Amino acid sequence: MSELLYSLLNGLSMGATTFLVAAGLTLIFGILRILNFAHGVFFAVGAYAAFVLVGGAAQSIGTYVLASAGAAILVGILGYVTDLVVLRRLRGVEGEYALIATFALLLIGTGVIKLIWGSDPLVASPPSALQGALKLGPALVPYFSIFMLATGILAFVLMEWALNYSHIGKVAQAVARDPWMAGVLGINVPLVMTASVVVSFMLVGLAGGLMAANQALTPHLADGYLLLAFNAVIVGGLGSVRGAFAASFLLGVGESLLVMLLPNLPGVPIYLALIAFLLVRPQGLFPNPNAH
Amino acid sequence: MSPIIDVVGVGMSYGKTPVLKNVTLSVNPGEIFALLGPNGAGKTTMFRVMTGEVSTHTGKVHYQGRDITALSAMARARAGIGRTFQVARVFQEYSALENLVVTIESRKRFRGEPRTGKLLCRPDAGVAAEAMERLAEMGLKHRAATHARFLSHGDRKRLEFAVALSMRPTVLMLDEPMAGTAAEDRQAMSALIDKTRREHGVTIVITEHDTDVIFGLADRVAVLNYGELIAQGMPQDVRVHPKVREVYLGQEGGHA
Amino acid sequence: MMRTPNLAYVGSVAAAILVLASLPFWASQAVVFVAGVALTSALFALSWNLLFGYTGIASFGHAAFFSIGAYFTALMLRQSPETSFLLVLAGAILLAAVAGLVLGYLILPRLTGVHFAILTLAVAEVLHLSISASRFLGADDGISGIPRPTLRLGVFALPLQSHTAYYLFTLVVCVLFTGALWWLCHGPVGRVLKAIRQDPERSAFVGIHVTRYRVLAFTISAAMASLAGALTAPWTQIVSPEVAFWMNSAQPMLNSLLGGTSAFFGPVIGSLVVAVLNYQTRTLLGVSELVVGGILLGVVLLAPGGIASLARRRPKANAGTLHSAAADCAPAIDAGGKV
Repeated sequence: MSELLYSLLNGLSMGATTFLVAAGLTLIFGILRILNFAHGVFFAVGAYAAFVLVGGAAQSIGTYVLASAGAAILVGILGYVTDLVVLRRLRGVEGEYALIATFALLLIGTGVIKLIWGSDPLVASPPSALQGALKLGPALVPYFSIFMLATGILAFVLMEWALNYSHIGKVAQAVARDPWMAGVLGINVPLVMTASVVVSFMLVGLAGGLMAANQALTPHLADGYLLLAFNAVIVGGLGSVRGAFAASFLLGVGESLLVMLLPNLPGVPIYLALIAFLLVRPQGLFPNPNAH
Repeated sequence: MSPIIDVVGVGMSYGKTPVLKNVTLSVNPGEIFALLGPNGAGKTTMFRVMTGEVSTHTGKVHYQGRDITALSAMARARAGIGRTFQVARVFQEYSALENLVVTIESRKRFRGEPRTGKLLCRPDAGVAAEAMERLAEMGLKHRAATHARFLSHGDRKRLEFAVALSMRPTVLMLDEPMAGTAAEDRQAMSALIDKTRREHGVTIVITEHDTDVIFGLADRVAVLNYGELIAQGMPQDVRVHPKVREVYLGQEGGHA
Repeated sequence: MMRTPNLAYVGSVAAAILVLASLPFWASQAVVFVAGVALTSALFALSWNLLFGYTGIASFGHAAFFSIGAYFTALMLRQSPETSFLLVLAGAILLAAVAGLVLGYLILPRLTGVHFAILTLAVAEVLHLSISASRFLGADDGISGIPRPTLRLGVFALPLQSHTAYYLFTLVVCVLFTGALWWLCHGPVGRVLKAIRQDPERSAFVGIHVTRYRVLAFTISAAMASLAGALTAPWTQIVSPEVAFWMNSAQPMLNSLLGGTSAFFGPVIGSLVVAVLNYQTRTLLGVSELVVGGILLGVVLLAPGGIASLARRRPKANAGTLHSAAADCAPAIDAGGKV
C-alpha cells in the first residue's frame, strides 16, 4: 500500500516536471506552429548550467532556487538566440522541414553538451533541506517530490492566469489564433512570438535546473524528458496548456504505476499507450480549435 | 430520360448553422446545369456534396441511378464525375505534359484499359500521344514542357480543363470557371464549355456568380438562397421567377 | 523525371560504380570499411527518401526498420549459420515489409504531418527500448562476433569472409536494388507518388487511391531499410540497440537532405559525403553530432534543395529558399489537420 502511495506521489512529481517541459513545448507550438524537437536538449542545458552555477552541491534551498533561476535566464537567452537564428526562418514553412530543422538543433545541442561536459554522468545532490522525506500515513514522501509538485502547480496557475487574464496573455492568444489578423490589428507579432519562445525556453531551463538536484546528468538526459513531454503535448492537444497539464500528470502517474507493476519494460507501455492514443484521438484531450 | 444526377432532400449544417435545407434537384444527361445564388446561399456546399468532398447529414445523392451518398471523392472521380477548382489546381512541379500523363495513366489503371510497354519507365506511346492530343485541343502544345507553376493563369485553367477531360468523365463539375477571368475571356471560356459538352458528350454542372454568362450558356439552372432551393428550370423561366427577382434585386443584368 | 537519362548521367553513375568497385584494390582497409558503411547508408537514405522526396511523408523512426534487418541477420548468422545467406536477406526484407504494411495501413489513413512524425518516433523508441531490455537480443551490449557468411548458390560456394569479398557483394546488392528502385521511381508508380506529394487532394480527383500508394511506398521503404540493416550486420560484425536509436533515424534524413531530396541520387551523394565527414570526426566525442546537426540545419535553412540543386544549371522548380519551396505547392500539412 505504501508502495502504491509512493508510486503515485512519485508519478505526480514526475508529472509536474514533465509539465514544466511540456508547457513550453506546447506554447511554442501554439504560437509558432512548430514542434520543437530540440526542447529536451535545453532541459539538459538548464540542468548542466544549474550544476555549474551551484558548484555541485547546493547548500540551501535559496541557492538551489537561485541557481535554477540562473539556469532559466541562461536558457532563455539561448532561446532568444535560437529564435533569431533558426526559428524565425521557419515561420510559415512546410511542416516537415521545420521538424527536421529542430531535430538538427537537438543533434547540435547534444553534441555541444558532450564536448563541454563529456559523456560521464555528473551527480548533484539536492540541498539538505530537501533531502529526506515526509511521513504521510504509511508512506514516505520525499520532500523533493513535494517541492517539484508545488512548483509545477504554481507554474500552471501562473500560466493560466497570464494567458487568460493578463493583457499579454490575450495578445498571445490572438497571435496564436490568427497571426496575420493580429498583425493587421497592430499587434507586434514578431515580438510576441519571440517573447513566447523566450518564456517557453525559460520554463524548460528552470525545469532542468530544478531537476538537476535529483538526477545524474548525462548528455542523454534530454531524451527521456523530451519524449515524455512530446507524449504529454500530443495527448493533451497541441497548443493547449491545460491539456499539457492534464496529460503530464496522467502520463507521469501512469508511467510510475506501470514501472511498479512491470519493472522489466521501462517506458514501453507508455509509448504503446501514446501510439494507441494517436490512432484513436490524434487531436488530444483538449483539441485546439485554431488548428486549421 | 432519367436524370444523371439526382439530389434528394439534402440537408447539411456546419455546427449549428444550417447551410443546406432539404434541397432536391436533378441534372439531365448532356445538359449544362448551373447552380446559382448569392454568396452564402450554399451553392458551393451543394457543389461539394455532389463531388463527394462534403458529406450530408440527411438526404441522398444518386448518380446514373446508383446511390453514391457514401462514396468518397476519389471513388466518384473514378465513377466518372470530374472536377475543376475555382483556382485552377494542377500539379505545380509537373510540366503540362506530365500533368496529363499522370492523369491518363491513372485513368487507364482504374478503367482497366490495356497499356503497352509495361516494363519501361517512360509513359507508353498511347498515353503520350493522347496527352499531346489533349494539349493540342486546349492550345497548349507549345507549353508541353513548361512546369505548371510557370504557366499563365489562363493557360493553367485550360490545363486543368485538359486534366479533367483526360479522365473521360461523364459529368464535369466546374467550380466557378469564370473566376479571375477577364470579361473578354469569359466568352471564350463559355465557348469552350459548350464545345466540350458537344464534342465529348459530357454533362456539365457549373456553379457561378456571373449570371449574364450563365443565362446564355446553361440549359437549366437552379437558384439557391439561404440553403433553400427557390427555383429550378430553364433560364428564361427562372429569370422571371418572382422569388429570384426578389433575391437578385439590384443585380439585374449581372455584373459588369 | 521523364527525360531519357543522357550520356553524362549514365556515364557518371557507371563511373561511380567502377570507382567503388575498384577500391579494395588500391585503398586502405579503413577506406574500404567506410565505403561499405556508406553503401548501406545510401540504401537506407534512398529508402527514406522514397517516402519523403517522392511521396511527401517524413518518417522520424526509420531506424526501426533498419534494426529489424540488422538484428534478424545477426541472429540468423549466429544461431543458424547453415541457412543460406540469400534466404536470410530475403527474410529480413519480408519481415520488414510485413511490418511496414501493417503499420502503414494502421497509421497512414489517419495521420499525416506532425502526428505521423511523432508516431514513427514512438514506434522506433518502443522497438529501441524493447531491444535494450531483451536478454535474448543481447540487451545493451547487443550481438557481437557476427560471422560473415559463405554464399551458397547451387554447387557454387562463395566465401564472403574477407573484407574485399563482402564489400563487393554489398556493392552488387546495393547496385541491384538501387537500380530496381530507380526503375520504380521513374516509372508510372513514381509519377503517382510525386503527384501525391504535390497535391494529395488533386490526386484523389484524378482517381488515384492515395492511401494505397502511400502504404505501398511505406512498405517498400521499410523493406529497403531493413535490407540496408541486414547488409550492415555482417560488415560491422556487431549490432547494438544504437541502430534503433533516433540518432540513426536522423542519418537518412541528413543524407537525403544534404544530397538533395528531389533528385533520385541525392541521398546517395549525401551519404557518401557524410560517411567521409563522420569518419574524419569519429575520434572527438560530440563533434560527430555537432557536425551532423550543423550540416543538417545549414542545409534546411540555406539550401533545402541540397547538393543536387546546387549542381543543376537551370534553377529547378523547388530549389532555392524554403519559402519558395512551400509557396506554390499544395497546402502545407498542418498538425492535426489532414490534407
